[in-house]
Amino acid sequence: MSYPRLLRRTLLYIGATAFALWVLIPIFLIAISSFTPPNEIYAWPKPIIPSRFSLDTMRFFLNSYGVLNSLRNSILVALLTLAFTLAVGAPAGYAVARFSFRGREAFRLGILITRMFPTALLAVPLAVTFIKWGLYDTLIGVALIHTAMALPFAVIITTGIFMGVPKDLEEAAMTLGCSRFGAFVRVALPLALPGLAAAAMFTFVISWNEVFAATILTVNNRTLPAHILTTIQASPLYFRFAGGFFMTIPALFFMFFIRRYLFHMWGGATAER
Amino acid sequence: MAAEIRLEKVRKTFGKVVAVKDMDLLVEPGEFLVLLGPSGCGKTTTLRCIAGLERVDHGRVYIGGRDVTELPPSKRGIAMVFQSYAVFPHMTVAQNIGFGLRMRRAPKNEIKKAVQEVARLLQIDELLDRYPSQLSGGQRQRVAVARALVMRPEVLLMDEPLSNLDALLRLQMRAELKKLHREVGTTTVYVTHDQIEALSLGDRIAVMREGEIMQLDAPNEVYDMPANVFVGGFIGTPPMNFLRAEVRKEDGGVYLAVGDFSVEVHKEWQEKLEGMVGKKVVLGIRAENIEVRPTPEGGALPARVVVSEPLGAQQLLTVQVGKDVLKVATSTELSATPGQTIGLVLTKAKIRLFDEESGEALKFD
Repeated sequence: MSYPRLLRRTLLYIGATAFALWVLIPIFLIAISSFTPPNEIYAWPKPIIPSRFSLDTMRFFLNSYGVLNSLRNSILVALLTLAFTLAVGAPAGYAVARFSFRGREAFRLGILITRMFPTALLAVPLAVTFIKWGLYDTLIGVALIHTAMALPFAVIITTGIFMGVPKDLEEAAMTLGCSRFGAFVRVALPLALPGLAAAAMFTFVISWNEVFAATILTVNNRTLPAHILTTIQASPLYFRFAGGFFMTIPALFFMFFIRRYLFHMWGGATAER
Repeated sequence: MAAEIRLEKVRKTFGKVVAVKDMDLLVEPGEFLVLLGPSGCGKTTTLRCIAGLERVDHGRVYIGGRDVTELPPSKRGIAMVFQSYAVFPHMTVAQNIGFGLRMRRAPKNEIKKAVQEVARLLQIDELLDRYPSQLSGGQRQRVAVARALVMRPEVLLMDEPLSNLDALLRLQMRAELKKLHREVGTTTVYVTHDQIEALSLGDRIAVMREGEIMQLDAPNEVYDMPANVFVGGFIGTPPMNFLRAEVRKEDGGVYLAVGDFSVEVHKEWQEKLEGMVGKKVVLGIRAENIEVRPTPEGGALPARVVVSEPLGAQQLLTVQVGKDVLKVATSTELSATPGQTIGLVLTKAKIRLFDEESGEALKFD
């Protein structure tokens, strides 16, 4: 390896390591703290590795008032979001991948532009409209907003997925006796399933982590992040650690499985045509 | 079970591009028809119009006397083999082959029997439990053909089925497809850009260009009697040679002037050419119908050797006559060095004449 190349490599790895630590250290500290006995959290000097593994902190968090209820809300909202998003996003992605229609490129760009609207800007009008429609403080209402947020990603990811399923396969199914819809169900869908599962996980995580809209649009039916956000100021330190760690679990877990498909998304947005 | 295919004034456009231009075509029951042409000539689009994968802009498509223009592919009684094979990757070979029968809701034991039968015919009965990812290209190709044949279709459509195989396998599959067609007898429309494939497989060949059929004839007709300069130049390796010539008359005899040189013509053509004296024509002749002499003595057409390529059984000479470049096939024994002047004798009976402006063949019968 030549010297400049070696240097470039070294710098690259140093940069990557620094970046990884930047992300991982807080997660590590939160994880460690949430399995440390509550009284030890306040100890000083603080040991890097806790003296014993303890579930007390987590237990305290989960038994706190409102946590289980908001956890149930969060899961319901995420599942509703997932259902809405896939019901609309997957057909949209299929259409963009398969059919050439007037305005297709504009549509693909337009999808991304919707993500540029700051939710803060829409918060008040949204709250007013939701009150009018009777959606305020309902799980469906929150799920609808989360769907709006997740939909652009879902369309882009599913476009990439369906582009990866050759058109020939569906046409072959059609010549073998399938209708267009039958060909989709029997051939395109099974082949797209792993990718669609990844898109579903991604959607779930977007909804699970969303805090701003959920806080503004609910009062009693809080989702977990909204509940934590509104109670965190008045909570002990170990409650915050446990809550923070609990929130990261699904994201960590899902991202590990779907990271391959996230490349689909970026590739699908620019390179593939 | 072989049906006739009839296209009536079929037109298909993509935006401003006319892919198929008001085509009329009749494929006889049991016939093996090849659609041949350079890429972008509309041959695949024509096939897809027959299959129902493209909607025609206007015109009608009939299969077995039934108007299928508005019917989806599944209701047309066709089966198709795709260039990419389009074998379903999430199904085993047996499931792939049985797919169409399952769609027809045929009884399970019947499907199993039919699948095994056709798999044996294509020599893939050992592979029935495998997935496509475990197969070679040639095996996938067989699966695709088996999947189409098991349907006992009235019409079999093939879109460049051999183009993704390597040369040796292609040669082998070509012969096998021909044998299969003889055994099964299904009306077959076969798309290819490979003229050797077309010549070897087709009962008839439709040579296409820019959405139109230039010539529809038996292979030897298309080869020997091209309807125009395009067909002559497209079919054959090397393609037909063309020389600019002029019809002239002297001493009561009609002949063709190629530069300063005169080429005699058939006696039968003499009087027919009489009315065309002074007209510029294109003389077409195939490489194997030119006899090469070491020197241009005794009335042979003088030509300068540009390149000599030994091809094993014969050697191919590229020679120049006036401004025209010719390819000539000759035995390897003749020594021809670049720059040397040799003599060419054209076989009179094999000469074809074309109108210089339109490129259409001149008919003398």
